[in-house]
Amino acid sequence: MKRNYRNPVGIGKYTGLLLTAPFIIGFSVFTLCPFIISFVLGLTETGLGGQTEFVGFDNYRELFSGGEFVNSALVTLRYAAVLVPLKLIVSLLTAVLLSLEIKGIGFFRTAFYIPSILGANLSVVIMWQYLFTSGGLVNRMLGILGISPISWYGEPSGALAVIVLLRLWEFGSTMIIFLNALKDIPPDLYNAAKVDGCGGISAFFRITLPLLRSTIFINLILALIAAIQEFNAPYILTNGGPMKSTYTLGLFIYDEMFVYGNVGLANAASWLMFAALAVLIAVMYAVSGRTGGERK
Amino acid sequence: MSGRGLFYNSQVYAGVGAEYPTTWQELLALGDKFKGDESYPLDLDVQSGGTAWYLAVVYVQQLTGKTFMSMDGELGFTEADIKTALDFYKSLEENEVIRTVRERSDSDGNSALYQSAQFINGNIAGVFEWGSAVGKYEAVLDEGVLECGKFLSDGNGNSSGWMIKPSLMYAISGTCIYPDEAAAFMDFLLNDEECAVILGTSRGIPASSYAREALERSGGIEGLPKRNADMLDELDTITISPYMELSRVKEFCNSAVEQVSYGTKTTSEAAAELFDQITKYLEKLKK
Repeated sequence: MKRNYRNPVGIGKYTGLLLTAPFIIGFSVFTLCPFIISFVLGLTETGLGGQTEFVGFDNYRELFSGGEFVNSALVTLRYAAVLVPLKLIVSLLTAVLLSLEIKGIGFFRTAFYIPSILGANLSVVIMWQYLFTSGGLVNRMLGILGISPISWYGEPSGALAVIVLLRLWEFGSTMIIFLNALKDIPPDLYNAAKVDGCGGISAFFRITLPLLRSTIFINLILALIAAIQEFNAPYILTNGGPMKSTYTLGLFIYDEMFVYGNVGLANAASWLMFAALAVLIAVMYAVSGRTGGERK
Repeated sequence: MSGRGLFYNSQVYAGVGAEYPTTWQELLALGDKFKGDESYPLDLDVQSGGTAWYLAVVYVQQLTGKTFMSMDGELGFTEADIKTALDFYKSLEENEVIRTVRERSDSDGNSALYQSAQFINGNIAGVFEWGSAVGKYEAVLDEGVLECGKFLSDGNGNSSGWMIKPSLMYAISGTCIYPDEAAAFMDFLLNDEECAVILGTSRGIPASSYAREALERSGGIEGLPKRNADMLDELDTITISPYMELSRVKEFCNSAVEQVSYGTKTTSEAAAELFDQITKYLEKLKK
């Protein structure tokens, strides 16, 4: 396309396609193709010698026939049900506190955000491990308070709690989203409410929460996806134990794929996890009235 | 070749006034000696090492003369044998020879024993480890503190049932274009004197007599790995079936031990389930 007065940079019929080509190629090669291949692999079974056989939906039937997959799905749901609400509440309340314009607040904002950058890397997990072992700092502090030591890693509920606490500690990203949304609420609303005799707590429930509905929803979706896909923390901290009480879907898929060499079952489980998440999120969108264009 | 052996913290044993066990009965009696010291004479795990099930298998193999699993994937143990193995494990816990799975998880989390303060501080005074891999336990204790124990027997001269396996194996693909050259290279890796000295015991103790002699001449085999290998040489050992090493089989066995340890299943229930799981899995593999 020739450049002229009306088209100074020479935009042609295929310019848009050309400019978006890097993304389309990258998406096709690194996301779409693996996505399709994964589905196909989910319909196969690999023998000990590496020979692959097409088995249709047998892997899906095997997954639903009970055992480890159902157990890991229940563990994941329990984990998400405890973690997600806790994370939203803690990060929202912290964001409200950190939105106050007081001296040195920047330090606290940074301090609360740092754990979420660290993630579940090895050094963090090692630190976490030593905090919660029987002779660790947490039990020693409980001892000072006259509380009996808790069996964190030995008891199924304790082990799940340790992983929930680790992820809860990393609430920084959720908090930052809330913090930005809080800044967008016009101060005039609070001033007007104050004039009308509305107290701080009342203003939180009548102004802040309603205006944060969309942000809460987005954070809920993000936290839910992260929780359902949880892998790192239980892998390093508990390896799914004790008694499979922290054996999340992520661990199940990893074990089937890389430990047991069960490629078909692992891919079928991945697809079920994806489908379950997609349905869950679609239902949440529908229930909250966010489908079909404008939010009601 | 390599085999799991028993290694003890000599300082802790001396402090408690205990001798290294030579029979299963002596091992079971050790818990009483260590009780006052709040330490344990041995440690077994239900994680990737799976030493709890391994030792129980050795015990039953020695007791019955059977092999847990044959080289071609036949289960040699009956349900009753598996129950005996689980009963033996439970008796180790009840006699406080080892920590329960709960106690172990509480103390160490998911850490390996050689990284555990319990082992480094001497609260755990024994490990059951491959002779070729015991160095990591030696490294965290003072030099010479970890010593090699005898392979346990029934006290009547029967010390069978202990197992060995190749630490590393080579194969030439059926589609290899140059099989003779590949075989020559493999011969170099396995039998050549110079190569044996370079590789040392990184692949375990060499099975090739040429390589082993070369390594011994160069002083490459010494310390605990050598003592362990020498003692194994004197025993009537069983080569571990590759089927026993399958991750899924290990998982079945570790889960059974864990269930027995936590008391969520009796040894009879766990044995019945484990027998059923292994049988079905082996059948599936053969299809």
